[in-house]
Amino acid sequence: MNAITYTNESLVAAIKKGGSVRQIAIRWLYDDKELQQRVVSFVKNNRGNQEDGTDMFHEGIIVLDRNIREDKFRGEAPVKGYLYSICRFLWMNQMRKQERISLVDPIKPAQEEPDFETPEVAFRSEERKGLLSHLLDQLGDQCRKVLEMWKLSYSMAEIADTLQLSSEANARKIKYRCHMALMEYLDKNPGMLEQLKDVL
Amino acid sequence: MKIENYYDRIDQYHAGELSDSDSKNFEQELNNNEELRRAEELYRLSLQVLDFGAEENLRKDLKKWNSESSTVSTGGRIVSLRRRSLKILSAAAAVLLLIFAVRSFLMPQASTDELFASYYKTPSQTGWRGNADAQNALTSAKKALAEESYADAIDGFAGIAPTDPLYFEAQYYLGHALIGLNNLNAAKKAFETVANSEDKFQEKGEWNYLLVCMKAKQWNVECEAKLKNIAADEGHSFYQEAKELLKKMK
Repeated sequence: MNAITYTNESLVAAIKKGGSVRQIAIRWLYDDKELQQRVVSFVKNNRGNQEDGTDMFHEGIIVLDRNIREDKFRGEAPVKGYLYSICRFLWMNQMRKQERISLVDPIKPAQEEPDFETPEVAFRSEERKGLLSHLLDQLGDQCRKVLEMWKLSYSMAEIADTLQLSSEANARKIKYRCHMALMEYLDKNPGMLEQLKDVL
Repeated sequence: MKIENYYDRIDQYHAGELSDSDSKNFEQELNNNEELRRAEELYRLSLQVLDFGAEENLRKDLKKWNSESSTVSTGGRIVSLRRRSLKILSAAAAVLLLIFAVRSFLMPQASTDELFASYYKTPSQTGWRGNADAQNALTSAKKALAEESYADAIDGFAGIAPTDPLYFEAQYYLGHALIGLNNLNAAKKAFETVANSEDKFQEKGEWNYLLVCMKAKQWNVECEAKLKNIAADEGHSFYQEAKELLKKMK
């Protein structure tokens, strides 16, 4: 069904390029059922179920995408191996957090796992999510879609086409107006700005 | 601080579109110009906010792909059922053709009028409405709107296809009819469609979109930015109103 194949390098390059090229590359990665099954098996063997495993696979892809876009992935390991390690780490991390809350049947963290988040960091993560969601909610639907696509390096032509805007120029105009509006909102709400700096 | 004074340069700097020397100048200015530094910081932070939104979207896509892949087998079944139905229908059609062919030899022929009457059905309105019909539909729907028969008006306006030149005009009136039924979210959407067009109703769409934002108590930074844009555009048909509204809102 999927005719495209990637090498490590081309996969990283496609994700970095953004736009629909990134979307296709992520879909290709997602379609690796063998890898997904490996993640699910790991989770199931560590007190999780099928759904937990699928969730971890999804979260792992999100982290991988972010790390590649932010140049945190140095390409020293194969992408798929790296993705598996992320999923594994995320699940162990989650299990550790649950243990701390329920204090039932604690599991030993695997020796090779790096430091886990402290409960304080976990709280701050929730705070971060709430704040960022609030800020995004300040944008209307159209603004949000245009800006998010622009952030993922979609071209103005692609944005106009996907969102059925009248022209590329119109997409550019909307992007400018919406981005300005978001920045002005942050500028006029110093308390929120400080909070944002704090959680990022 | 007027962020717009700096926006384009910051944007170009982050996109790597400045020449080496312009880029160096920009960095030097960042050290000396407090306002520019502040604007650049806001720009960077706003990107982080958008990044979070992009991640949320990816999460939604992954869930969607997951639910799609879990229904693949059902999809296959639907296709095979359709194939089966087609086979049955083909067989039935073949039998009917055979009966028809044999009938012409065995039975007295029916008159053409009878044949016409037994086979002809008046076409339904959907799918054959040309431009003139769209104009008629629009006129009737406008009449319904004037008589406050909102449901009829909505039916009429919504029936005009996006490919029709009257589409944006219909969407504009549709917005008004939806307001009549207090369906404000849908009204907003209809006006937004018009506002994003290049139709003669575009400015009216922009203005009414804002009014619905207010009525629906959904006023946000996007609405405010749109209002400011109109108030800054002397050529806009609602320039005066926007200026007044902006003043009142302050």
